[in-house]
Amino acid sequence: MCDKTQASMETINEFLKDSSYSDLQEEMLSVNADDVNHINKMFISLHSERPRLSILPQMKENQLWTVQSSYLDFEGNMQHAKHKLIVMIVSGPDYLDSDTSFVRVCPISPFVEMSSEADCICDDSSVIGFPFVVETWNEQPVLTEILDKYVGDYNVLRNDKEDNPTSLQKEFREIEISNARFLNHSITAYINEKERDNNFAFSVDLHYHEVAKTVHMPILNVKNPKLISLSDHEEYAQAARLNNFFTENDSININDSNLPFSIEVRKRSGVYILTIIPKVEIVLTKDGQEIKGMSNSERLVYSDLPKGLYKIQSPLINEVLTIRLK
Amino acid sequence: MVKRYQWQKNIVVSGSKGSEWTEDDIKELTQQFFEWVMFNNKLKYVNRIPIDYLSYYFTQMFVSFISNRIKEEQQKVGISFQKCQELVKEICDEDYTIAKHLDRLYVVHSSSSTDKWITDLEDSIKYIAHYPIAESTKHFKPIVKLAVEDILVSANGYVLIDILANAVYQLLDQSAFSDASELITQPQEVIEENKYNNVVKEILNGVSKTEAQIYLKYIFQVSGQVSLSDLTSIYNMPKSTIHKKVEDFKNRIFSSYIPENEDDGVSFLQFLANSLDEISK
Repeated sequence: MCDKTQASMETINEFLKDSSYSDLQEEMLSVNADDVNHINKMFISLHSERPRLSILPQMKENQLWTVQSSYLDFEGNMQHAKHKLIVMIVSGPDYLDSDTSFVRVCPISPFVEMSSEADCICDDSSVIGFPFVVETWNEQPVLTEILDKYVGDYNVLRNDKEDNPTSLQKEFREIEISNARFLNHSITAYINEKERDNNFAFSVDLHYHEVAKTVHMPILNVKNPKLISLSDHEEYAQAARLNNFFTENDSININDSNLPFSIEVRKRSGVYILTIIPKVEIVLTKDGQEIKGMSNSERLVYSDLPKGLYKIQSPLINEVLTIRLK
Repeated sequence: MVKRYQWQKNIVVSGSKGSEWTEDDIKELTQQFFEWVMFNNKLKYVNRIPIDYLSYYFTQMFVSFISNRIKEEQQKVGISFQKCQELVKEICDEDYTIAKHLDRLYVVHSSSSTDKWITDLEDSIKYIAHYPIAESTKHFKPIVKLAVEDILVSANGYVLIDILANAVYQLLDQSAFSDASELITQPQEVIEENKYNNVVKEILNGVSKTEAQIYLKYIFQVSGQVSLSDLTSIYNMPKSTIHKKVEDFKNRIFSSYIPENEDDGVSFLQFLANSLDEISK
């Protein structure tokens, strides 16, 4: 590799390795109104209406999708990406169970200067707005539920050149593969949870106010059900901790001092019943679709809910509450 | 980011001295970044970029811009002594026999016919030709390799590795990286008008009156030392625009004519300055 190129490529690797660049402290510079006007004028000619796609297409090969910046994994932990990711679907979707599917993807990187001769590069900026390299050496499985928005389609042209990456290009690949753990973790967490979910009747993951919490209901209709050890963010339903006998009438109760309402979850005949007490203004959604519930003067009840990831929004709380029924 | 990644200040065109980034330097860097973004059409399809990806796209562009500036700066400074030292060490490890003597490392060529331990190379390199390094030189290692070979053959013995790097560095002719303004302070020789006419005509093709004045003032320093900031006030142009014009003009000069020797270079630049003076009137 050219000696002069080395330091410039090191700059990019150093940036990509840094896991906290987004936490940089801002420093105020004295910029006057003329400076701002000048910059604004520079952008006026570039103003255009952004296209909106109201329907998400069915996932298939060669599609480009953005990935959610954070997601609640199957073990009840919130995962955060270092930066926004775009991936290209290379196969799938395939199903892990009746409600959970995954695809195999290759992340794309805008750092085309880090590519080797054998890399697949899209030079056409009109595809997603900038040239990119398809990281074919960084293929990962990922749950479809963490893919966010459809961006476009791109067919990778086969590149038959021999792959002889330089040491800096190798380092770049290692960093990118390491950063892509955010993607395959969605699958790892699912598998980990599957290995132990037969110890519970059902469980609820909750993320709100920067705190993730998982509550498990032990096996029902068994006297002194076996309780396994749990990690820090997990706990058993209150009654289980008292070593009681459980039936389908028992619920997981979530009473958080940061929440203006409490949540009860029951599981009956394979479906979930979610109850909000007292009756407050909330919107419950799954995959972006609003779910209607029933109410009386005291409570709101959502019944026949399948397992999965739900969002609760309310004017009474400042952020979206994420809840997984599993 | 400038502070976190400790980027060198020489990547920005700056009127301020010292290695500390000032507020003005940061503004200048920002302005140059936007100029680079516009010049390279980076926002042509900005409406296609997913809106929640835009922030990362701008960060990525900024890192790429810095990376590019570092590369450009390195092309201006040639090879550093530290880099030369690293290469000499690497070459010695790869190609020669290394021996320890009185706790110090020596290197010897396979054809050496003596066992003397050499700690001074002044005589050995006296008659060895210099190796020119041009702006277009991309790989330094082959040149350093040739220099190491020449010195070891000439020394004919065990050479102290520490002084070998010094000697190699002395043999590297990096005069191509000197500023043009330094060259014209040398004694003037007879101007060979016919020889330079066509080249100069080509270099000055499309140069406006104002640009000629800028080049004369900044590159040839005809009215004493002026900074980019001074020119910004005189011509009401952004500092980065003037810098770009000057850099492009310098590149045009150095890519159009390769002087036969130092005197020829001085004569050529004098002829160019006179021609610029004509345009600037």
